[in-house]
Amino acid sequence: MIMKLWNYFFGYVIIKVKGPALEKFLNITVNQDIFLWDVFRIDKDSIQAKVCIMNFKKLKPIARKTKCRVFLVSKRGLPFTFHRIKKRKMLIAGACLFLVLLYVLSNVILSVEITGLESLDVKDIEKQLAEYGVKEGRFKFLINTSYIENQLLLKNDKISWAEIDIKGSRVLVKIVEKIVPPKIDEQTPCNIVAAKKGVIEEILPLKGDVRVKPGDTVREGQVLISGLIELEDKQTYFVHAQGQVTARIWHEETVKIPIVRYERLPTGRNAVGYKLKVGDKIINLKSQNITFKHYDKTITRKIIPYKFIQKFPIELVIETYSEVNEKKVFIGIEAAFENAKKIAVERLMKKLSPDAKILDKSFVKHFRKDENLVEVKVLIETLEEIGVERELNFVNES
Amino acid sequence: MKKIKEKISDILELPKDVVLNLPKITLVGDVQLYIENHRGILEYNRERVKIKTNLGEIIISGSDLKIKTVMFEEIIVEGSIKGIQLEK
Repeated sequence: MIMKLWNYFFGYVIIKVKGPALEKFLNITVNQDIFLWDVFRIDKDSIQAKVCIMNFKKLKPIARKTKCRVFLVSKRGLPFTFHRIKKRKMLIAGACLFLVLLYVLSNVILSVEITGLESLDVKDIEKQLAEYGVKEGRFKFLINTSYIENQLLLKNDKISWAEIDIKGSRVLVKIVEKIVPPKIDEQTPCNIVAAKKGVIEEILPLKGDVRVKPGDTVREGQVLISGLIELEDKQTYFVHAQGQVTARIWHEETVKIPIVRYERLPTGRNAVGYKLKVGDKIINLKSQNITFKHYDKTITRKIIPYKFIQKFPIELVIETYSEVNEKKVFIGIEAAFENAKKIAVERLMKKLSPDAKILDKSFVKHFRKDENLVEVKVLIETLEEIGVERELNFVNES
Repeated sequence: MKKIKEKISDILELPKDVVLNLPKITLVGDVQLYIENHRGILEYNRERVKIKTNLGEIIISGSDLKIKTVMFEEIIVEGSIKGIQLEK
């Protein structure tokens, strides 16, 4: 095998030797370290053999000595192939051009997709991206993604995160917009109201009329520090109320977990159905009669031709049904309690604002025998800042 | 001299083809025959290949015989081999 490859790379010739003493010819070549292979006799006074091109010239003196004649039958191997191709310059040029074009065209951006925009103008972002070379018809290797991401963030206050992802000839731009709370001007009169319901712990008023005292229970939206000040002389002023109000807040979360869990294990048996969706019409290419008792269904959609034209009307819908076995697993009451507790605490933690201070945690466990459920109620008490500015509504307030 | 060599190779368990300079012949089924340590080709045609060795002549008979490779030390004959004969 290796020998054959070697010979192919360096080239060999098939020769025909004609003469009376062919065995002598063979012996002399062997003695002179000339490697011959695939020797076979054509007829009484001629044999065919293969020999390297390096050794071919050495055969001539041997042939003269043994009164044989060497004929060249054909040339094989890479050197000869190259030699043949060399004459066809346009073919080589074409092949090179093809490779170059293939490389260049596969580096051209064909589409730019921007996702995640809500209030910002798509055209505006497209224009900004085009300035940095992210545009259809440009080369993708000229794009410095991290630089453009940073520039987008710097130039647009409303963008909190941007990612540019190059997938083949597509550029995916993901943008997350900032949610900016409406800011009230320092001069505009406003109230401080409660954002959540809770029990007031501490009030630190800076400006305005305090309406609640520590220990008061407030509901959501209740005015804590009013921007409406009434002086002794019955005159009223409107101010921009300022101050900090902290309150104890109770967060509650109930989680129910069945003590028996059903596990779905795929059996490995699948059925696939194909549908072709043209516009609004659905054509069944291959439908399936499902005989499985339990199964999971997955639907994949394939758009032909992929992504070149957005919203192409033809779609291939592949429905895969994989059979599953349902298996009852008994978790145990204690384990279920633990699980439910964990889930409840996790959910609560997600709801809490980051600056909330946890004061107390308590759990209530309950086992419902008739439903085979465990119920865990988690109560977390926190200390939070609840005051938010709200503009004074003159119609209602006065 | 030859007998001493043979005895030495026996005692030391050395391969005889190396010590005694004998040909080593390997037959693969009836399709391929290796001869190592040969002294040249005496006769070659499709039905018969005669190879000279230190021992004498090895005659391979068969049909469609072909010399796969021929090198200084080694020769490989391929084809359908029907008989191998040693002539001293």
